[in-house]
Amino acid sequence: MHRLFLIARIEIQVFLVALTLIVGFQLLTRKMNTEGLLFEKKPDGPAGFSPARLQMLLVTLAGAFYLISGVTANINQSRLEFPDLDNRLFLLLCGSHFVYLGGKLNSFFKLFGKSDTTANSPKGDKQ
Amino acid sequence: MNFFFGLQGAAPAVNPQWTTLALVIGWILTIFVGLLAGWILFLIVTGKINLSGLISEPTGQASLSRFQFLVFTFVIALSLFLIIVGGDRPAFPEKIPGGILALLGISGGSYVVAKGIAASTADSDTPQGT
Repeated sequence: MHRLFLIARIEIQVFLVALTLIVGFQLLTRKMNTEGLLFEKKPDGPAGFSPARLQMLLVTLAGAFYLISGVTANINQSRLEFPDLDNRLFLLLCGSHFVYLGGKLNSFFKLFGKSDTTANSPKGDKQ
Repeated sequence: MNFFFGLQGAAPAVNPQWTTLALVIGWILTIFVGLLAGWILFLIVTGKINLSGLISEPTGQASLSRFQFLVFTFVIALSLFLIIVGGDRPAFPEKIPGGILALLGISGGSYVVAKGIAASTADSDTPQGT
């Protein structure tokens, strides 16, 4: 029975590692579409580079790495439980997502800039 | 009941036939899951399962909200699996901290809000009278 658990564990571990590597490889070689990932998106198409998106990407990767390293450290200490996450991580993530969504709202609805008069013209002309 | 649990007051005696049956079923399931996992990986590598649009919107552009949702979902699922199989015998963790659920909630909530913003702009772009 112990051998069965061991084989099942190895199987799933190999599958998850292989899947992670394949997805990572496809992301890095652009086989998985990443076009426009860090660019602002407006109703009439992608615009320029967005620092808000870059900061959210970095915070996401940092948060994921923090969680995985906490879990790995617990397992190495034979503590089979999720780590207690620092509250500052949640503040950071909330702030990051707030900035990202605020930027997204602004790019679509122009909340903090000039209104796009051409879009509101009687004929509804677009630039 | 004595057939399964032996004499009252004594440690329960498991019928060896049931143990053998459990072992056989376990091996069959393990082999099946292994073959299935290998087959899925093969289909992904050969392109039959196409992941190119995994984080893309219907417009064809990559979506950062989908990407961050993918990352956090995958990381938390992977962590849960590592904890379950980390011991001598697989066991679900005694508790899942609220922080982990909050993490999933933040990630998922952000994805939903981003989709809502994109959908509302698509609706507002619809010409009048159509």
